[in-house]
Amino acid sequence: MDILQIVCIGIIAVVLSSTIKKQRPEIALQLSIATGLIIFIVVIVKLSAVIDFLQAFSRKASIDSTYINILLKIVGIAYIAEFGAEVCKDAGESSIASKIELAGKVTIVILAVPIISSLLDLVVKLMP
Amino acid sequence: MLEFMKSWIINIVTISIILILFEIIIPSGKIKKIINLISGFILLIVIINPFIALKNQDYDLSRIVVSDSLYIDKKEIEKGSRLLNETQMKQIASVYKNKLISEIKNKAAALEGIQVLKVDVEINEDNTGDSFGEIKSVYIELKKASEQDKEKKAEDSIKISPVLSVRKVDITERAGKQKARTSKTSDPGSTGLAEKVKEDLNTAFEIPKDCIVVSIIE
Repeated sequence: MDILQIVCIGIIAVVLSSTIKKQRPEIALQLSIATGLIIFIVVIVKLSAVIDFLQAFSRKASIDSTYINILLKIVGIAYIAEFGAEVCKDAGESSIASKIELAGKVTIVILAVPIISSLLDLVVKLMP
Repeated sequence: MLEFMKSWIINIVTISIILILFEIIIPSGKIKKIINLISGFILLIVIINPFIALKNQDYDLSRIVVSDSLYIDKKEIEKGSRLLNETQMKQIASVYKNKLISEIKNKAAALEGIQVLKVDVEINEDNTGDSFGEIKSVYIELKKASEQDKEKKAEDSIKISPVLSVRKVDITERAGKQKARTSKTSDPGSTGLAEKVKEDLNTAFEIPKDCIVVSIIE
């Protein structure tokens, strides 16, 4: 019934935010950020169970844990960057949001450098 | 061969399922495209990897990952330390300059009959050479102290002078006088004073006399 709680929190926040938006728009923004954080934390706690399952699954199939670790880091960065960008967009600062997205992309590409280099290395080694 | 095929197919199926699960949980934004690209690379590596083992070649992915991460970290640290070094050198130059200005001010103020208005120092801020911190030029703006100032100075050292009552000041007249007063003069007395200051600074800081510019306001 967690989804019910999350949806309720979201709906209550939307109703409160739309009520006070005309009088105090800055409080409405803070409310939306706080609600986003609460939902984000609840979801992340649940996501950790899925991640544990994926890691156990990969170990059973004797897949190199390096791939999974890099993927997990990338997913985490993507979540954080998207969350920050959405908050900025809600506040009407779409230019800052795009900069946050850019930072997220750059960090992900830096993490992906070992994967790309190992792929190239593999291809070179396969050549006769 | 059958065993190899079996493990290869299991690997591909497992990584495909994991990648699909990841695709479900990743946020649907602009970053999704990049994550899909990296997932594709990982799938390619998993598909190609067993063939390396078939060719009896040693291949360790984690070693490559560690060495690449180390290389990136090393570059970042190098850049950071260079930036830190530059900032430190700038701070050192600024502190040195401020200290030098206050020393010159004190030295010049010790001379009788003058009042130091402004001191500016130009130093060599290029930290790569040996001449870092070398004084290029010194600009001093002085004012001849009047008899009243001298008396006041003497009085100040003994007691606190009483506060004068506020009276009406004609701004236009005063502004005109000020303008007239700030004009630089080159009478023999001023030249002698300037020479004296230059001589004093030359002996105290070993600054060449040509590098010292003294302007005296009457």
